[in-house]
Amino acid sequence: MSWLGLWAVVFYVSVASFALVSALVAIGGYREVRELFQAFADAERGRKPPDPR
Amino acid sequence: MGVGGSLVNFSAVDWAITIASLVATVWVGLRTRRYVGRIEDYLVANRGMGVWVGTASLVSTEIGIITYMYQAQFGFLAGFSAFVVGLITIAVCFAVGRTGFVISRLRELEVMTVPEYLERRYSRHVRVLAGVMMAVGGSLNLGIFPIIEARYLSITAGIPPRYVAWVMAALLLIALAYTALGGMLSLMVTNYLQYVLLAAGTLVITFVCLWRIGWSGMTGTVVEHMHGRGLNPFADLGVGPAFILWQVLLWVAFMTVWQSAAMRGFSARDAATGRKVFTLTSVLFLGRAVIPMAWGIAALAFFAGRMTPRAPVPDETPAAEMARLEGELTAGFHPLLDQGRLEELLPRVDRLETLARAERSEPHAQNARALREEMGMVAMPWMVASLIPVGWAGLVMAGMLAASVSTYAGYFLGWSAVISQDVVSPLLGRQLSEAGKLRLTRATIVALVAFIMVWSLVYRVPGPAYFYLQVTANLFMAPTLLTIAGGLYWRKASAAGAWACFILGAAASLAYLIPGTGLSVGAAGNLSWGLAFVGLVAGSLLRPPREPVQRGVA
Repeated sequence: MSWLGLWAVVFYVSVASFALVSALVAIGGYREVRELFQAFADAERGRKPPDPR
Repeated sequence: MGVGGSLVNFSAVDWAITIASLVATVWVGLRTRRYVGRIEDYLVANRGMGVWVGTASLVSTEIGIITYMYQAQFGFLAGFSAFVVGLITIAVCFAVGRTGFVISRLRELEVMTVPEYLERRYSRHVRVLAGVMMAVGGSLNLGIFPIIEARYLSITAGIPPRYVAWVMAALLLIALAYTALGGMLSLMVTNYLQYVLLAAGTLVITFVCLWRIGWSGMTGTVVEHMHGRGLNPFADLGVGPAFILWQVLLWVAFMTVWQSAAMRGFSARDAATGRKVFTLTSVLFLGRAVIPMAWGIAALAFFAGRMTPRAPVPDETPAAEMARLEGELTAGFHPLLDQGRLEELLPRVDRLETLARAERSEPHAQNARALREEMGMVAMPWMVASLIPVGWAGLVMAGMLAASVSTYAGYFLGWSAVISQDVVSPLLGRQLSEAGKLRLTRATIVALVAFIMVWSLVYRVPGPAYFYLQVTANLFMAPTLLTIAGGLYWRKASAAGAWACFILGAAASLAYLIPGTGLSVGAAGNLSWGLAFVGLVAGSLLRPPREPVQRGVA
């Protein structure tokens, strides 16, 4: 394989894998952020003193 | 071409998109403040990071505008040969992710900073020494970010140079606000949002490069304008065993002991999650190198395609022509560069380089190289300003600002954690309360921001930014990786060896930063690793550990 052929493969693989993994991160990350906030909110509720009523 | 003949296509719509993205980031970042009560919440988000958010956080921290600028500069200067660095990066990051080398052991030990391990394994003095080295190297490294990124903003958004310092100060303050208040939790959430924006911006620029210039335009320019260079990294970059070894070691160190990267491992739910984050990141790090390098090549093609042939002056000798070209460039280089008229500069610099090579005139060749490096730094932003259409320019700018602010925020937290936890706190000689530790870390972030603003105004970078960044990192990366790996995997490693490792390893890198030493970046890098290794081995064998090493830390 020539140098130009090799660099074309490297470039297009880089762009395609960047796009694919970024899409996965965007989808999976949304769920994890929600879970993270939920976990901290639960922990905060657990730390608060009980309601006197 | 923008309105009124300007190269810049940045409209009110683009400004609105940009400002909305920043407001959303700050709002999300500040929402996390209420959940931060302990230093462990603040520095490692109570070790609750999952794979996807962890990947977004790590990658958005390690991609800033500066990353894209120096990678594009490297592509502009070295052509496709620069891609070899991307291949080394993915190989090393993938190997670290799969094996868990260093990162898994440190996560299991539940440290919050890299030097914290050094106190457990060697002594408090080694921790403080490492902390000082990391603080100095990390701050110097971060210190040139604003001034380089300011050029990008100035060019692509058409901000007049006199206001750029204020824009950078505003960006630093935005990052400061939500990092100082929300710490790692704030970072993880904002990094997610920022990653989505920066990935979108990255793909838009790449698509526009392929649409307007094309792969064939890029390859044609490299073949035609780089005089036989730009394809073979072995010939162009001196890639050989020494270069590959240096890059491999540097990337192993970057993935394992670079505080902002290592903190993602420390924040992971468990060691296995940390390994998955680093494995996924390796794929994105290939793009982090190769994609902006391709933009640099596209920028070369863009301006080379606009060049007009220059008529030779009759009966002019090579020496007279070089003198004339240097005179023209001395007078006109910076005004033309500031207007983005690189198509007028490229033929002159090309001709000067050709003549200098033919006449074996080293001073002229050096001057031509320096001018080409300066063009390489701004060519990509000028191309982006010119090619990205209105509306899309706002999305790209939002992505670039997200990259920039997330990097500042991640580095502020990383280096301030080292300064406060590993330098100031141990030197105070007393245990601080949780609230005291939080106050100290937040105060350190403010001091760090002040330093960076001043340093970025007074320092001029010697040579390509890519090399400056690698050498400042090498001030501590070689000794830190060697002492940590030695500590984890070699029972005979001692505190004396660690001291020798840090002092000798830093000395070589410092020599490169002192003007006039003539030490090349490759030599400084290899010398740093070599001397650090010799220091660790010799010091440990001459003065072995006084007590047997505890199980678990080695």
